[in-house]
Amino acid sequence: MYATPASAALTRRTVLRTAFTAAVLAGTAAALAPVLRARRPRQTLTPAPLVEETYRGRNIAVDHAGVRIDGRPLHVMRRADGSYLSGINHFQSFGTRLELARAAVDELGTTQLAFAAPHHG
Amino acid sequence: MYTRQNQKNLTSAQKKRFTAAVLELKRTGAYDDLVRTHDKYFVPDRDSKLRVGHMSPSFFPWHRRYLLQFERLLQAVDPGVSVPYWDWTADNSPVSSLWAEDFLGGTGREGDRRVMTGPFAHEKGNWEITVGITEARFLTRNLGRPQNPIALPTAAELQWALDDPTYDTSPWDSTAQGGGFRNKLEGWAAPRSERWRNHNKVHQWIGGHMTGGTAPNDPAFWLHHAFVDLLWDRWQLRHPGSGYLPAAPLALGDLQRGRVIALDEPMPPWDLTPRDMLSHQGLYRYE
Ligand SMILES: [Cu+2]
Repeated sequence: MYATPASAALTRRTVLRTAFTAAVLAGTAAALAPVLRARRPRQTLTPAPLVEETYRGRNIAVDHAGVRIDGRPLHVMRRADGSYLSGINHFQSFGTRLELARAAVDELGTTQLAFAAPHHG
Repeated sequence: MYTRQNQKNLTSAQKKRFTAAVLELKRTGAYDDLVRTHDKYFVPDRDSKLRVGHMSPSFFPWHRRYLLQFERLLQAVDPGVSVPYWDWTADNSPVSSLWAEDFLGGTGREGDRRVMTGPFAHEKGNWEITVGITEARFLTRNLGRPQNPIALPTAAELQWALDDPTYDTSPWDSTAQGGGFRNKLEGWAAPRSERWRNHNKVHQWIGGHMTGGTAPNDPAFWLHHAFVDLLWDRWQLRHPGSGYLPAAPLALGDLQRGRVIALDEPMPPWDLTPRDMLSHQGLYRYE
């Protein structure tokens, strides 16, 4: 059985890699990008996620390039009000990309995202 | 002229003919082309691109034409078949006959949400998902979302949308809150207490493939949208003095100019306008 979202909130492990995370998720990624770049060694190919957590046994990673679930990219889109939609949730939007990713996990069950997914025209 | 029936009134022979025709379209590949079309034309409203199918006034006429394309393909297989509609305010349970073994099959199993019953169960060998964004090659559903329960829209919720005399309103997208039948029925506009309504909520209630851009992978999509199509008729009957908006292309300087379809502008991928889709008289009727 799955835990309810409320009890999951008590058990999940959220790793905040930077104090700027909340601001970045609120949409100031562009403004903070130079700061984040400065914190990482130049030779790093995959930047460390801004937020990484285990939710219902799945790894969620959010950085300014996108959202990954167990390392697979989740297609993220925006609504006019700034909220987020994904390839998994087209008919419902979420305030942050982390909430969007958790909702995708809820919907996926034990299924994995595909590595390459069709994209909108 | 043919009739689109309420799915609850179909005989088992009619159900069998409908699902057999759908399976035949799947076999030929025509079905998966339709799934691709839906995904391709989903454009979210933060993008400054043209939106035809969703978050825009042409939600109704675009889906009317899309359903007709599906129905014509079905009728090429079996001329006696049409798209049934599902009144989700009435048949609102996971145990409705709609989800029985002899029709669409039931909800997905726990874990991977795989549909295990009915003609579209992967185990039957006729319903392989090829256009999807997950690794699942099987159809998925999660009726009623038991882990985080959701109810289908009520008759009152539907009436709230139908009572609005204005078809749609600026900014003609998912944030149009000042009124507008289209956004209330599509389901982005909702009272503060509840964020999603009507059409959008039905996608969420079914779950699995139905929550994403490749929603038509689930044949329930067509029965849901046939009801949405019927509701456009009901709104027209209730508000004979109202019509499709915007009636003319938006003015220069309007941020939505070039992003939404006015009454006489073509709706890709077809060379047809909303005006062409305002009525289906002479083509089909609803029972
Ligand atoms: Cu829909």
